[in-house]
Amino acid sequence: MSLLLDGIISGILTGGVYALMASGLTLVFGVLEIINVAQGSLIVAGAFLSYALLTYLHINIFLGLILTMPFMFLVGYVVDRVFVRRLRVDRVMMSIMVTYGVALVIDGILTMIFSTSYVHLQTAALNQSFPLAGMRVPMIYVYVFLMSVVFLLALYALLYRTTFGQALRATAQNRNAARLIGIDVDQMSSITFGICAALAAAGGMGYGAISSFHPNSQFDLISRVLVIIVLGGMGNIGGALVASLLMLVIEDVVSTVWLPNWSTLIFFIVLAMTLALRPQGLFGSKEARQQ
Amino acid sequence: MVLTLKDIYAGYGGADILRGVSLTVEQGSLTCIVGPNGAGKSTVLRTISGVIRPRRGLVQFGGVTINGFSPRRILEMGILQVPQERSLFPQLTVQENVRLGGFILKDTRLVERRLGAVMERFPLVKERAKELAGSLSGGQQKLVEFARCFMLDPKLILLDEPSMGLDPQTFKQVFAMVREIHAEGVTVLMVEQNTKSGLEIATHGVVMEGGMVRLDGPSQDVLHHPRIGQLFLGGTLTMAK
Ligand SMILES: Nc1ncnc2c1ncn2[C@@H]1O[C@H](COP(=O)(O)OP(=O)(O)OP(=O)(O)O)[C@@H](O)[C@H]1O
Ligand SMILES: [Mg+2]
Repeated sequence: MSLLLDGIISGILTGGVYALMASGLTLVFGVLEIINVAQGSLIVAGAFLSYALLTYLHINIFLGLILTMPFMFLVGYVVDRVFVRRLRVDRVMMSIMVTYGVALVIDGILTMIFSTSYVHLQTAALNQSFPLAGMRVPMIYVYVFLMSVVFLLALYALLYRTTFGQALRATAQNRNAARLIGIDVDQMSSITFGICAALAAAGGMGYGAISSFHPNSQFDLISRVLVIIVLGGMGNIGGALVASLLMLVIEDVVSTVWLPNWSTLIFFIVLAMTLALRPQGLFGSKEARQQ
Repeated sequence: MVLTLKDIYAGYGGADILRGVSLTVEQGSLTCIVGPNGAGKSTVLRTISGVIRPRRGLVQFGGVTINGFSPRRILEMGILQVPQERSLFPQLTVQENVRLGGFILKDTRLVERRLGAVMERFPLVKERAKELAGSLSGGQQKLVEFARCFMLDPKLILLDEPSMGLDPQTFKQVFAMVREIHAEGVTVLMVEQNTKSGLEIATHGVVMEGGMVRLDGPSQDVLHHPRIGQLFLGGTLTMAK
């Protein structure tokens, strides 16, 4: 019983940062109608940026986001501007190829600079913990969870409380109609890609604070994050949020109650079962997207 | 403000769809383009609204050359397009959709004032203001799309098959609206599948086929042209050389 509770608590705490990493990806899918498989490497790049600031300049990883997020925003903006915007035909397939290329380049650069050993964002908070339901929860998990909640709320406010956000949602719902009322759809797309990369920077920092990583971590990350957004319904941010919490709770419960080895596999088992029953994901609606 | 197209060649990246289209839309006219499926009627409207750029030729409005302008700048000229496919944002409310019609306006007070005026003028918008646009019927959505045009100050409205898929009742409503817009002094360039009804309410008619203009002139002349009967029968109109 207490093992089950442990699994649930740690699943929720880590689920938050996965929701953050997935939100950018699902937003890009919604607005640009492409799949950005470079998200995994953008996340790892974000983690390494925080690592570099921490190790060489002794900048606190949370404060460091003031530098890493705008920088990653620019990276995302430029990637869209230079590579993705040019794709006019067969955008989904071509975007997978192009962003995979981007992922390999980022991967190469990171490997060159940081070599391939595992690193971890070491913080004082890592050593503090508090008791909860019979286990000790490291403070860093709580900080990262709270940070994720803050950024997700900020993203929500941007999308649902500003004119810019309304224009962004309009673009996601009907690109052609958006163009006809004077929305610069190309510009919106680049900004969205930038936001996605900035969220990856924050997500990467959170991920690096609670687990160790190296350049190749991108492969594991992108497959998990893709599972989450497919499960949540492509383009659906709320769906990604619920799917993140659900998947991480299931994973952590399986790993604490049963066997750690099974925990990753369970990700894909749940995906396969869900898609067999609901091909549009848990919260996706086919009609809305096809409109 | 006269709209003229001169020798337009345009397409979608592959072969040209429009192959030397020239036509004039007089100020204050209701010009109706008819022609078989695939003739390039929608492509003409998309070229004018700036969604696609012609490979060759000129589009001029009130003496200003506008081909190459962004869709936004063309809106600023007072040219608005209601496309053939649905163009509301289904997950936004009717009111949000209409307000977004004023997206390019900087003055938010003007936007709210115009929104109020549109609500007064189109009872449907007022009644269904808080409902999701996607929950309206096809005809109702079309009317909201018209209403949205009045968030700006339209000089030329491009209507692409406004009656498509409507029941006879809504069809009448939509056509009445087109007449009303025209009567107010807005120039209308409309594409209509229903050749007879379209030409009957129009002042000018244009017949297109195979990416070219085959016939144009006062709508009555076009309507009573000896070869136009073939179009009503769903056939083509290959003019003798
Ligand atoms: N987005 C597009 N990409 C590529 N080709 C297109 C596109 N839209 C239209 N076409 C092609 O251009 C040609 C003309 O299309 P257009 O839509 O202008 O015809 P239309 O006269 O409006 O016909 P309809 O009465 O069916 O609406 C067609 O052969 C069509 O297949
Ligand atoms: Mg058409």
